[in-house]
Amino acid sequence: MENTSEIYHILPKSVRGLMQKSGLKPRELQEIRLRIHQPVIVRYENKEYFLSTAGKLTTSHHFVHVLTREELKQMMEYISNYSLYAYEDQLRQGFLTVKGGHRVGIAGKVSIEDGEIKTMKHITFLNIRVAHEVIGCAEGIFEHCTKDGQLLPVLIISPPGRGKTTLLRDMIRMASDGGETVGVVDERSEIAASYMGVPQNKVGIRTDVMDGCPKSEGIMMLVRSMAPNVIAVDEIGKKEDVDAMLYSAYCGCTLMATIHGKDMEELKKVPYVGEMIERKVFKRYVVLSEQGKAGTVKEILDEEGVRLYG
Amino acid sequence: MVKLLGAAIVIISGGILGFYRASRERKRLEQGIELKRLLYLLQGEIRYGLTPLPDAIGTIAGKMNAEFSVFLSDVSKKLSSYQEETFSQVWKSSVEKDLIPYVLEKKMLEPLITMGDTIGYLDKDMQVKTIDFTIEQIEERMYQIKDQVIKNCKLYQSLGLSFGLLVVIILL
Repeated sequence: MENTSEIYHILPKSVRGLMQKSGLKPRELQEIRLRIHQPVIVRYENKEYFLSTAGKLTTSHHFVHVLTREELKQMMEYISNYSLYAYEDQLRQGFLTVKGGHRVGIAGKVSIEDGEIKTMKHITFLNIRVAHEVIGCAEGIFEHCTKDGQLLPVLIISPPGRGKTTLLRDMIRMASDGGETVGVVDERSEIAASYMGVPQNKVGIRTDVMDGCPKSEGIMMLVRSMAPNVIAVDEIGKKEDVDAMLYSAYCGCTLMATIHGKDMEELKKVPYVGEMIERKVFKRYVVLSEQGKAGTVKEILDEEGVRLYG
Repeated sequence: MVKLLGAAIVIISGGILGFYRASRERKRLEQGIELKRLLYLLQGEIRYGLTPLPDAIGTIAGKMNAEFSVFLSDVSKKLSSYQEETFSQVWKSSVEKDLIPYVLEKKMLEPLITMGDTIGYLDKDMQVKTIDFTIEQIEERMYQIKDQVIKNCKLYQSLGLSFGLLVVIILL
């Protein structure tokens, strides 16, 4: 992702001007946080800065750009394409995906009806998470997840924010371009980052994406309708997710999934997922490191827990 | 012979003038129908496709006649540029620029401008109701002018011919 124009487009005009003036390197831009009556905070090169009124990143609290209600309102118009109604479901989940695959987290006043979230009004806190697609990041790992040229079921284990979705995405791309028909259930639009049904990230030429769909239902739908060889999902954990994955595995699909965790031993104690490990549903476990650069692989294990890499 | 030919030309010209004025009168109603069609299409895009406004407006631009199509394409282009602050500003300026010079019954455009202030806001039901309300107001205006339009049509047609005859009689 070398282009930040999609992010700059959704910023209020005043902030957009300042950001453009700042001349930031798109690759290093990670996050922009906008809160009502508070300074604009930019996370850049792993550090936090304020946006100054002169269009520079600063650590000083003086002469910083403070966000007004009008600017936030303008921003919501841009994010939602002047059409909040089109994003009702996403609003309920607390985020919107914009062109380019960037995620905008939202917070504000929540309306409840019959005990369920109806919508969010008075959106006053926004967090733009810049999508960074790392094409080729799975290249050294992919070969360890195959046997005689056949892709094996893989579970990527990683602490939050360590690059498991980025790795999964690239593995999907490699499997798909390599000849497998991949079905992706992208519940939180993080894998393909689809915008109006069109994947914004490279997920391969043989990939079908069920966007914004609950994992359990999406897996069943894909298995029935798209005949995938591989089923890929992000952040598994619930019983129904595990049941649907087992169902697809029995239907002959190879699974690719990610889960929050530290290592295989810890996951054995987690309900449902532990059972999948016991039943040797996955044949490879890619464990990401807690330290170092995001995406660093700590080890790759087989179904018996034997270390193959790292 | 020349006199007769001249007289015929004057009468026919009067008639054409009358028919032209009558067709303009009819256009007041026809434009109302076209406006209703535009709103129903927009409502459909929102109700069934949950399409965001720039795309919905861009899509229906291809289904409308040239004059309304220019207006809709203009709105869609402006919205996609992310340079305008609110939908209501874009909508109002485009109605003023593209529709006011073209639509004969200006009062039908008032509810359309007001609609721009409220659309895009809140949920799908709200959009559907807002468009329904605008259609109702346009229908009401059409109902008010309908009798007048029919009367004027007949009047202009007969006046055109009578005027031609009168000129011929005077000149002869």
